[in-house]
Amino acid sequence: MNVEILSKKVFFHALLLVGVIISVFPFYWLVVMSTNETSAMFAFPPKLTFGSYFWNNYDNVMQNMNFYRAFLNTVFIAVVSTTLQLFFNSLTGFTFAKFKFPGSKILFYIMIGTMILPSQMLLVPQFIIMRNLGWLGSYVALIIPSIATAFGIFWIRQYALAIYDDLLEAARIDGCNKFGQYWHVALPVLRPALAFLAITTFVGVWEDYLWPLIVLTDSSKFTMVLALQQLKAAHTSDYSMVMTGTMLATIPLIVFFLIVSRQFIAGIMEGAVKS
Amino acid sequence: MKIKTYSSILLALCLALVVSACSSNPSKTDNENKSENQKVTLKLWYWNGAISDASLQAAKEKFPNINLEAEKLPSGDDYLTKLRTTLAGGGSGPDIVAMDSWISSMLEYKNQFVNLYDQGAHDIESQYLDWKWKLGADQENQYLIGLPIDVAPVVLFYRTDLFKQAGVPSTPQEIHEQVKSWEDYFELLKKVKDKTGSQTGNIADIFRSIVGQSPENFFDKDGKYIGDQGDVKRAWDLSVKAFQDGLTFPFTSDTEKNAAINASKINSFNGASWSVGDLVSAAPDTTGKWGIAYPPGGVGNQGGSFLGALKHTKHPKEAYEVIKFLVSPDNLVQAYKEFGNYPSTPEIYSLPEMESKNEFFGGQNLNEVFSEAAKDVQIAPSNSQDIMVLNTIIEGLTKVDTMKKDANKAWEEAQTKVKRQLSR
Repeated sequence: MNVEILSKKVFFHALLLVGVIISVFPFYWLVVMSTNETSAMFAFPPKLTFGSYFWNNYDNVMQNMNFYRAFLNTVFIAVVSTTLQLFFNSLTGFTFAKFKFPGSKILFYIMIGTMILPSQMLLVPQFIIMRNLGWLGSYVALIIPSIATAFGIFWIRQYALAIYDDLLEAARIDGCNKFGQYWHVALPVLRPALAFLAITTFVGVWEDYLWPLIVLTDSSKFTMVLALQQLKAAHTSDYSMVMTGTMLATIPLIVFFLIVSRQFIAGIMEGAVKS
Repeated sequence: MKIKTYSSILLALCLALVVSACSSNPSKTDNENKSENQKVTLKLWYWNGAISDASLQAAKEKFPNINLEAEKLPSGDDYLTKLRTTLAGGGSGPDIVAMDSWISSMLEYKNQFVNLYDQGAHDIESQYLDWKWKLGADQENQYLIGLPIDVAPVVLFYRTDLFKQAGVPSTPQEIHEQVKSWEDYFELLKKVKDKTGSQTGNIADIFRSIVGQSPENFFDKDGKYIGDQGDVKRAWDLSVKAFQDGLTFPFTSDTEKNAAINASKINSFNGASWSVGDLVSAAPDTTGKWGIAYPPGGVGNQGGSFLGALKHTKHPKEAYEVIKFLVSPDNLVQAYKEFGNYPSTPEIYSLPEMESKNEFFGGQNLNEVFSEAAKDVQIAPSNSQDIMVLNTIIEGLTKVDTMKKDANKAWEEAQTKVKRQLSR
């Protein structure tokens, strides 16, 4: 019996290990390439071990792009954008879930309908709106249009449907107004949903390429992904340098994910024990 | 509770930042207007590798009363997307704009560009290669939207050692004289393959090269589709023949191609002048064994950029002066030395500064081949649908190799697909 369980365990762990190797390898390769010369990338058989060119490549990255400036720009946009999105999405989602008002259903479905439109289609109209508002070239044009998203509102609403009406009723009797019910009752319950939304939003903003490309013109305002593109030349690229830049740009995302995912899992556990 | 306090502070901060950013905008433009009175500000968009940084610096020094703001933007399709959206949305684009070989698609919107002929471009026309110059002008040659920067003649890159080993023509001179047509080239490839086992680029490379050097490709000058006959059909048949004779190497990506080149599995390929840099960095194990020669079948062009001015600029005169300076022969030599962009001004081809001997190519002076090829480039009438047609046909052609599809069937299917797209 014990042997059977053990062999099963070994089997599943071997399976998981294969999965881990497959998903980790691209990142491992990224790190390897950032420590080698470009020519090693095309060598046959490919070089799979770390080289000694990391600081060389690092210097090249720093010379060819304003890395820390782009880094701070992106952190700024991502933090502001994520915070505002969490607030407005959860406020709207909670309202849609818990308060009935005339036309609330229709409004909700119209909003869901906008998810069908591909973002490329909105490019030119949105650009014209930004031009008329005089926001082109500024971060406002990056932050405001995505301040509330159909997906975020939908996501929060689904989660907020599970909040007991009695709980809100109790809060109302204790003297909470509608905003108080949202702030004191709904928000704490929504924490796992918010953590998930925070991760996707933050990563989404960090990686957003097309819209910043169109809107920003001043290269000192460039976000990380845009600035990384400056490393690539029209024809010949120093791939080790590009890889080094890409690797450095990925690290903050991983750190952020680790921090928030703990919140996320903590939230799930909390709910499980309480019920 | 603590988290909540923090988060409400953060939220308030974010809102405040956004609101203040909204209101700070107008004052900023005021400042810009003020500085404009003293100094003319010109914005320039380009991508890494289009204009030499040294030339931009030189321009800033030459025009002290112009504040030249050069923005290095992402290259390739991204650059085009940004420019297109800005033109379509009527946004505040740059004053001066670099354009790649897609300049012909911008001629449709020529009204958004300054006509450089009005600024006196006729005076310098004779300095530039005629075929290159005309790419930036409309059909009647009345409206010019860009001045030429560089050209990219396609030549034959080949392994001197493998060619020698196979006993085929192996000096640039011999190849130019004896390998004139694609049939000659295939004959040569067969011998080299028998002796060394090496091949040429993939099936699509051959098609692209032949189409590139034809006087007419997918559309005639009136815009009629002729991609189902003539030179295109000939290119297709030749590519299929090369594949069927086992002369092509079946790589599917640049990475695979580079690896094959470095492993001496590829003995020659047709490449533009800028592929020198790619080759050198991709194939260090083959250093000293390469040469370039005048290509079989004629010379095509792959790439090469332009500088133009947008109509909304308040200073077309100054913009023209800056453009004229940036594309002057002296600055083009600089760009050639810096990143191998071959100049479009033939008068400088014979200058000693243009000599480029490279150890990777066994000390051959590459300029001798490029200068001759650049003057012989064939240009076909262009059409905004060219890229779609090329991609569709190449997609079909690749299936002949990767999926062992019947060549006639693949041709029919590709043509049907193209015609369906065109009828939309």
